[in-house]
Amino acid sequence: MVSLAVQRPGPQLSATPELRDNAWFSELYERTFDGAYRYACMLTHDPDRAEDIVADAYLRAWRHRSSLRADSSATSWILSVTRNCVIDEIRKRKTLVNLDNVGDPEDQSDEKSPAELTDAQRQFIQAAIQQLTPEQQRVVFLRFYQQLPHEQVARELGRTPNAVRAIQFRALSQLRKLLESANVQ
Amino acid sequence: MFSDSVVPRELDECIDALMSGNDWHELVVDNKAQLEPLMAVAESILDGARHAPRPGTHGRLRMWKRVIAQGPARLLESVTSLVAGEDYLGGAMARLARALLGCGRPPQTVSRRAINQCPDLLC
Repeated sequence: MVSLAVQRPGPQLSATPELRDNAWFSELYERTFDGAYRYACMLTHDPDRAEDIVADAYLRAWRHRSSLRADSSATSWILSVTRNCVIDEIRKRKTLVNLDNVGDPEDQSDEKSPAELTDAQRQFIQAAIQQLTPEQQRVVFLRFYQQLPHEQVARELGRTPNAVRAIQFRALSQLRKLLESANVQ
Repeated sequence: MFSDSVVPRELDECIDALMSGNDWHELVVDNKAQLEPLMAVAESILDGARHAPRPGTHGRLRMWKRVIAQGPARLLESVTSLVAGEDYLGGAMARLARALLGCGRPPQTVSRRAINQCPDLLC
């Protein structure tokens, strides 16, 4: 059975490859689109590019729908496809985001609380997220962007809750190092 | 000194509290020096997530049209032409076409061989 990280409940998708028809694809899109789009936005911090990438990702998902294992999470699968499309798009554009090229996050004079960042700081954080491993990115996305509890993140990724906590810990530690080295916060 | 499993668990609990709008500082006792910098990062990520764009209904529909125009719609168009009599690949293709259109034999009866015969149609 395919499980989906969704904000609303819905019927399970039939997962046998032979049944992955238009209706299956429509349901897949309906239930995973928001996440895929936001994931692409997180990785590119560019809504327009994210649209192009997500369109490409769903086309790839349609063409390679037989590669989704029946016992796998469709959300995790779509996120992987989306990430691959992001990588391909970055390669095409040869615009790999480099932390050195992102605007100076300290260059903001207005007073903000620590939890309320400037646009430059947000951009910097998103650029730092791009430096994480694919698995760390998925955990950060499902945990913070989709705001799923760690048990559900574990189910989506096929990992144990303890493993997800460890990945999350390593991801935040890595981000902390990246931000410290750039003198952010 | 901390256990490798204790800090990740406490961090997770603090993140849960943060997302619920509760004060996570109350949960930090023994590993304050390690958790507070990480929670500062967590706050930053969550702030970024809350400001991340969300697709509206219009965007969702626009994207759907764009996707199906190049994917399933092309498949449906091809399948329809096959059912309409342009069955140039033979009976197996017709069975596949009927199955994909939801008529005739159910999809389970379509052989893998039949699907493999039409990679262009499916891709």
